[in-house]
Amino acid sequence: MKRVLFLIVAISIHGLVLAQTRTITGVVKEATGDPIIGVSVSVKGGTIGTVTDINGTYSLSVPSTAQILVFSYIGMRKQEVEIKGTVINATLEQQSKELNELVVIGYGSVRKTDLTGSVSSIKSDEITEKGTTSVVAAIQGSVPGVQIQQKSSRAGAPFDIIVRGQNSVSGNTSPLYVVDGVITSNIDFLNPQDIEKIDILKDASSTAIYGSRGSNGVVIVQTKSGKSVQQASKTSISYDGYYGISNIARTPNFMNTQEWMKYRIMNYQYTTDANNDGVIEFSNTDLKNVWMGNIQYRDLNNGKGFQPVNADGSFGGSQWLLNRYLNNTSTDWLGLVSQQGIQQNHYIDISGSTKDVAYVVGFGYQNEKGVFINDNYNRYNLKGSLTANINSKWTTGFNINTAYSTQEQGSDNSMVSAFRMSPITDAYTNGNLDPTLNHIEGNVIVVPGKTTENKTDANGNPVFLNSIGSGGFTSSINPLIDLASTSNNTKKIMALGSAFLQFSPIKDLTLKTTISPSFTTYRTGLYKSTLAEGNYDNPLTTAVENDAKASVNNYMYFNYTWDNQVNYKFKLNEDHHLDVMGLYSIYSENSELYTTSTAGYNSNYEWYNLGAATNTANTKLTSYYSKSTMMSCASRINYSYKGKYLLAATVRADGSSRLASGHRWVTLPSLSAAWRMSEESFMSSTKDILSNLKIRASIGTSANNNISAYTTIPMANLSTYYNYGATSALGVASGPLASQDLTWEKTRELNLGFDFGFFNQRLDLTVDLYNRLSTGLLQARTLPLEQSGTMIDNLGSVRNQGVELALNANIVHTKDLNWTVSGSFTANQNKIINLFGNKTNGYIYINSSTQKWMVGQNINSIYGYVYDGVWTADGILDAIKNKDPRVVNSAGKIIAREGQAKVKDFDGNGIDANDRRIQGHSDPSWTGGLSTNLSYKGFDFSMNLYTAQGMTVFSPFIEEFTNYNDRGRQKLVMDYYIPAGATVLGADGYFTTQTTAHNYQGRPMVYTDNGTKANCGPYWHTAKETANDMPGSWVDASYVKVRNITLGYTLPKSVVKSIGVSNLRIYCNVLNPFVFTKYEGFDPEWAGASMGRDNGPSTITYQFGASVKF
Amino acid sequence: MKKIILFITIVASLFITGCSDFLTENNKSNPDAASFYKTASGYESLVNACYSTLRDVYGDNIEMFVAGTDLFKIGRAGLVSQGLGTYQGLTPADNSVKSFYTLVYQSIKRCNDAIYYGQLYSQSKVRVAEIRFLRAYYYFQLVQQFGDVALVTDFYTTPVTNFPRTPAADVYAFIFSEMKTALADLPTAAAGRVNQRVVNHYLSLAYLTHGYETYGTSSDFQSAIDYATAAINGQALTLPFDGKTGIFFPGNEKNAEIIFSVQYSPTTLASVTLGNSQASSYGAYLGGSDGAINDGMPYMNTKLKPTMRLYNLLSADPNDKRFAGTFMQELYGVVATGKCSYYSYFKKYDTRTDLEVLMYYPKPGATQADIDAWKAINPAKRNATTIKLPGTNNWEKNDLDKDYPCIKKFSDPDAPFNTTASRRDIFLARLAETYLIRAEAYIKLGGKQTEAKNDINVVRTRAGAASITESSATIDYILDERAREFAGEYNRWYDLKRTGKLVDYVTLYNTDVPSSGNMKGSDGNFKILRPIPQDAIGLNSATITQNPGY
Repeated sequence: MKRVLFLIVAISIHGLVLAQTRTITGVVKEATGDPIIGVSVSVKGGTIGTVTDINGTYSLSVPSTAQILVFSYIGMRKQEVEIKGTVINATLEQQSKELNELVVIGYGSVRKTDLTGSVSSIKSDEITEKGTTSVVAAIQGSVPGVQIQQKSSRAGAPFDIIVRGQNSVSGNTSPLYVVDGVITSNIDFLNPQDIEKIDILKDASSTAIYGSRGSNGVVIVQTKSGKSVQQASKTSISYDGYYGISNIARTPNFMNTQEWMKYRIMNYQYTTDANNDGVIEFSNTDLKNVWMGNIQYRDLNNGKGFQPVNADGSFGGSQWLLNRYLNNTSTDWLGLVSQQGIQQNHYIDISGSTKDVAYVVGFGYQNEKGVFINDNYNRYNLKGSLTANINSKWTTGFNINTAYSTQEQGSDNSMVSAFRMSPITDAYTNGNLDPTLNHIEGNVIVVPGKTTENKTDANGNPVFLNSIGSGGFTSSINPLIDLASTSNNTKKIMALGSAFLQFSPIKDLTLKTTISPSFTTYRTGLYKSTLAEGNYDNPLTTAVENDAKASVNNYMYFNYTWDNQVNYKFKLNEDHHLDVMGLYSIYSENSELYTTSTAGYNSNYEWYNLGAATNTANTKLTSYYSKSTMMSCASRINYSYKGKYLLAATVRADGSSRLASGHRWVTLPSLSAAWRMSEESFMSSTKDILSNLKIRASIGTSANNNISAYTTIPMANLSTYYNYGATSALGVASGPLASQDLTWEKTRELNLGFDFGFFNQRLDLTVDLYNRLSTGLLQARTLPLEQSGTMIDNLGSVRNQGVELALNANIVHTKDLNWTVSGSFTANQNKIINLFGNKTNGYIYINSSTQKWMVGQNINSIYGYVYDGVWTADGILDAIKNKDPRVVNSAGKIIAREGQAKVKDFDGNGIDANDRRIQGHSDPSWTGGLSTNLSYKGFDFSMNLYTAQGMTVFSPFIEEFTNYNDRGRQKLVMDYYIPAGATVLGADGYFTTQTTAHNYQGRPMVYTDNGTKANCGPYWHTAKETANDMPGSWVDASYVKVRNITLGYTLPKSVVKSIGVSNLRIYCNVLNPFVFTKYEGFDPEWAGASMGRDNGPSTITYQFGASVKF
Repeated sequence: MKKIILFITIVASLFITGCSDFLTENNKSNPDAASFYKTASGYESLVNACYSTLRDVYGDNIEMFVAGTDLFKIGRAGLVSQGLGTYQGLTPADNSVKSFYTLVYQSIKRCNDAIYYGQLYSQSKVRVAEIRFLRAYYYFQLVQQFGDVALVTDFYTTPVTNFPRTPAADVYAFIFSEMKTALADLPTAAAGRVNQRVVNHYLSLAYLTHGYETYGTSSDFQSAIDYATAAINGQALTLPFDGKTGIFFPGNEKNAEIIFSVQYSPTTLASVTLGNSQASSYGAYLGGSDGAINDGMPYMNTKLKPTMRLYNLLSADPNDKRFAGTFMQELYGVVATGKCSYYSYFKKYDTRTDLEVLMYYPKPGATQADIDAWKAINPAKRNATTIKLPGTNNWEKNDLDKDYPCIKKFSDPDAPFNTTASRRDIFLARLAETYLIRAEAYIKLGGKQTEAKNDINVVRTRAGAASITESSATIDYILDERAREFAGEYNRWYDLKRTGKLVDYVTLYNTDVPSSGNMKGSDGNFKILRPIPQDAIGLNSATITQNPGY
């Protein structure tokens, strides 16, 4: 018994001895010498662990049996240290970022080394350093193969994003967005500071797992969500934010008063060719209107020229206008409606984890006050996520991301009419202007283009100078009035989230079910008071258009995806690794829209009292409902042999409610393979230089059901209006033809990629070549006119092929100095292969007046006559002599005049449809991005540059501001042909005659030709013609933009530690400081935007920001 | 392992339940066509939609009917197709021609739908007959404008690209047969709808037109006479042309002489500016809306400008009330400010001599004494009036505001200030025309001068003009009489083309077309028919031979 007791005691003691612990302390630092907070320190093979504190120190009691300590930290190479002694310091090295980084591939992730498809990634710091208010803007230029273009100058304006070229002629190019696993239509609601990482899946093998929904590429966004529960970490709070101001920059060169008046008078000279001999005669009868005089002008014989005069010899026009001209007083209309803009963005992120639970809470506020008055955008983001291990087999979690935004867009009209107002007009009255005739509101003139001088006739009645003859400059109302009379306000709420439950019954097998709902609702209210443009008119008329208008739109959208997923990883022996995934998913979305609009609204309560509309006949209600569903099954196998030979095969079947039964389901297979050549033994000799070489190849098919719901059902939905005498006969006609045979649009894609890593990944180069052929394009097809209308059909095919390069060079990498340069290059060629069954090169299909498609050419081609300068006086006489059919028609009539635009006649039979040519396309031929990062000790400097080259666009800006067809609106400073004999305006205000032609042949003349009823000739731009027939408005919009330049300083740890902060960086950032372009309008990036709300000035923004981590 | 199987079983069973209908669509906001048109009320709405196409075709396409004739010149540049107005540059790319072609075929498509559903669901025979007429009526428009045209009569569910041109003679055969079929099923009268009188009128006109063609037959003119007689049915022209009780005074649109019209009412417009442009098309620009006072004025957009020939024809007989009945000779307003109150003519009709007159347009041939007499009626309000004399060709030459008198027949005094806002009906056929069709048929038939003269005199007598003798009853005289009676209504181009006078009349009377060479195409042929639109050829896989002249 004693012996037994002894044994027990002995064992116990032994146990105590065994359980004996020692305390180990140490500091964990980076290679730079900075301590790292949050490094997990644990005993290998055990459960004991801790994390480092703010000074990078730790203290851990380890059992005496412990032999090895493991230091791990995300982004650092894991380090194992043998336990010797009680002080163990460690220096962690940055992981070779490129290779070990996890790349999200949809329903899973792989190490970059194991990737077989084409995926690009952007990390948090690359996004935040750009200081953009939009997430998408921050990607611009960073990712090859992804073309991003801002189409508007307005606050909160969205960006267009196209992955690997436009593969659908219907124009929908938007990729699929997946935010924390939740599918959503855009990511504009996200705060850029909240982004952890963005992965963009480009080739068909990568997007295959998303099936039909990923045919335009997939953008997977990870927000700063809960870290997976692996290690306990202390709560960390970080703040990122900036405040900035924006100023209008690079304003186009608009005319001043003198330049503008000199242009204007040209337009008052009617010309005729009465003798039909090609020599034009001028008629000066309307020149008196130049000064708004209704009095005959006469030569003063004072040697200066002539002016309109009254019977008593005094100046016969508006003295006020003449004075403005003589003093060259110009109103800065743009300045009156613009202001200094403000941008700010603040984001607070709180995260932490215990052993079994990890959480993140984030709050963001963004505010953008546009450079236009009444152009504001505010956004609040709130998010949270939680992941919990229930036990060793079950895990659950959720994340939710909400955004509330308000956007005030003010008046579109006021912006445009501020650009249009001529500089000679004035916004505010003064003693010379007549308050009764000018309808003054306060001291603002309501219709500045009809400015009237305070003048009375012999009877003491006010003289309305411009009432007879040609009236005024413009009838548009003062943009200041319009601005104060219009509101256009949107409130939007978005919420999306997901919740999952995961079960791992055995090692490496997981079953996961995820439900991801997403909800959007917005309200847009529009109010125009009686003074707003379009409403303000003669106060004496009572038409309803002249009453105030208010309308409100309410939109509700809901979708959910329910994914059920099985993953199983296994290896046959150490060489064969397999990862198998199975997915079953359903998706449903529905939307509702309710619109109420009223005219004859007698309330000043904007849209908040629509019931107050007195004219109920003009109250309109509309609503709609739409619902689509989808069901999918998918499977993916990733296979790796010895980590050198990689294979991935995916197949997905999608069924969509938008297609009729029998055409609903599509099966989309894809296969990709990669060979890590650098891992082969025969490459070992070059390993020091060529540290990584991988060859990737993939083939796959994606599909698109990009049509709206109910497209395959013929509907009775077209309201018509008629009456039989007093009996109303409202009708309902059937809508467009609907085909039950519609099916999926398919894209076959081949991708070949090479990943090079040199000098231990100091230099990385990725090259991808792709070829995508999209067939059975779903598009609205214009039916023969005899069959009438359009219908959606599967027709035509388009090929996109291109090359993408991404280069990363870490040129200098020392303790204090670090310099990296990275660049991207993309060239995409888009070509229509087949149009409605026709494959003949050059076959043209005219889809609309502005869109012409031609087989063998880019979808977005510009097609029309080829501008060939101006007919000079001598040139036209020669042409008449030679019977040039461009000038003399078959009936012997002269159809062109001196000074008019000339186009090329390729077949010598006069200008006809066959003389039109493709003259470029609005897609860039290539785009590139270049960024550089230089840091020295605490200082960092970075610069990003983006370029898009080879774009020819139809510019509504150029069309508007070089359009000779009107004589009341502002113009760009431009040179134009002036024939001999024309009357010109001198700086002294006198008219003189141009003795010799001003022989500028770049732009035609301005004057109006009575014979052809056209001024510049039929081949320049006139109001009648379509965009494709206006060679004068096609411009090269290529550009190079320095997107931002940032200078930052990270305070030394020793300094910030004293105030309880672990990291503090302050920086300043300049956005869009330099733009290099030949484009003469506001900004080449939105050169193609119409002259409405979207086409406004370019800006430069100066930001000051800080990021703090506690 | 059991747990796994259980888990998978649960998940799988969740998938299967409720899956069967998951991908079926259900449109909650619109009915599908097939079930909607099965109901009587649904079908009625489709029939209404067919009538509504008349507004599409006639609402804003005035140039297809009156431009490029002896009566109207091009007004303001850019508002109306130069090609149609001057023949120079009239090409297959002409937008107005394309728009007309497109709209008519769109209307025919809708009629085809209505006939298909009507027969499929055995809907009202009367309604189907109305639509059959309407479709035939549209083909009558097409065959006159374009000659050979694709005869499309089917209901489609799939795209068809092959539409060859059907010879004009066959199109006429279709028109005659369809109209006659409709005639049998229609009632004698039905307010605002197609009825027997409408069909008789158009059968008469179609036969008359057919009679002129090379494929016409000798019996065509007799058929025209017979159908005209059936349409007239003994009804005389009893309503005045001019004045408050006249056929054109606002509010009198539904009068007994109107056979067929495109109907409008303020309560059946999609928006206040979606009326028609007939009222705004024939007048000098009067100024912007800020020039209007009191009773207001229309937005005259000066699409087309009456030629001096039209003014002269209407003033040829001093007693003919149609000059005053057609043109707004007195423009009311305030001389001092130049502001205009055009609509006072209608709104203050009985007291209009008390109003101040801004502009006065004496008719051609008026003497100073006539003008003085006009002033003497109210010297206080008329002494400061600007008198715009017609001169030899002043009115048609000048192009400043208020330079020449507007056509007032179509004015809508209650319409908003907009060029497409008129709610007045567009008269497509009225009894006076039936008389003149019959007169023309009598002349073409031969040996019926008395009957022809009598029919012409019915129209002249109502207008207060002197009667004519038998020897005056010629085709040229009928064209003159038609000009006087229908100035601005949608038939002049058809009349000139039908009678083969297009080139002669246009080059003689329209200074926009100074010589017949202007009307010739590069192939040396006259541009009599309209060009088949380029897009119609481009979208059609059938081989389409373009009309002569293009």
